[in-house]
Amino acid sequence: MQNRIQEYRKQGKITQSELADAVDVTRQTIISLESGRYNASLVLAHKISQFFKVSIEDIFIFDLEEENI
Amino acid sequence: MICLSNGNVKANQDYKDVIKRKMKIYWALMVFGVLTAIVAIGNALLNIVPAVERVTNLYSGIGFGLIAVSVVFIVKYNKLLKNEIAMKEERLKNLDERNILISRMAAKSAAMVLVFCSYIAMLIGGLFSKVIFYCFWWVVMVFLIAYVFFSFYYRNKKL
Repeated sequence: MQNRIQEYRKQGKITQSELADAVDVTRQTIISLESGRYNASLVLAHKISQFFKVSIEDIFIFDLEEENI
Repeated sequence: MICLSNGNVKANQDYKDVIKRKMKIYWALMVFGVLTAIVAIGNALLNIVPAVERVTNLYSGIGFGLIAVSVVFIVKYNKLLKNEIAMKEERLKNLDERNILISRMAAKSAAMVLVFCSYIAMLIGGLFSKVIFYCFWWVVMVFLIAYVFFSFYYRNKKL
């Protein structure tokens, strides 16, 4: 699943550490999310979208083909 | 690492309780270590149960190993309780969902390797000794029984 975390983070001039602290994960998890090596849980996806004050769909791009659906 | 449920820990105050629970576990582990070492050393001195020398050394080694591990973790947790920043870092590290997933996947892979190796050891060891065969047979059986039991247990539990 692709996401636009890095894009939103850079727009808001927020560091990976600040985002990690805000959503209660490690910086390594933010790095993995941004590089697409890890898919966030529903809870983390909610926390991230609430942090950026946008909907989950705005940040996480659900591709039917990519997910084999 | 001792597995203790972190429950709904959301702040350092909640995590302090988790650390205190973990410390109790390590204190218990230390008691087991002391008992193991006492039994091993006592047996070596008094020769109550005639045992192979290396086994006695191994038992005392395990006992002192448990004591050392317990001391290290108790000291570490004591320091954490006094340092809010370090505690937050530790809390994030332990509660991070990616780290939890990595631990689970590593445990799953390790369990599969353990069962596979036990099965091979059971087949090869069985050619030489019935005792070795049954030792490894029990390892495989306990794993399978525990797997079935916990599968049913978690099916009815809120995840």
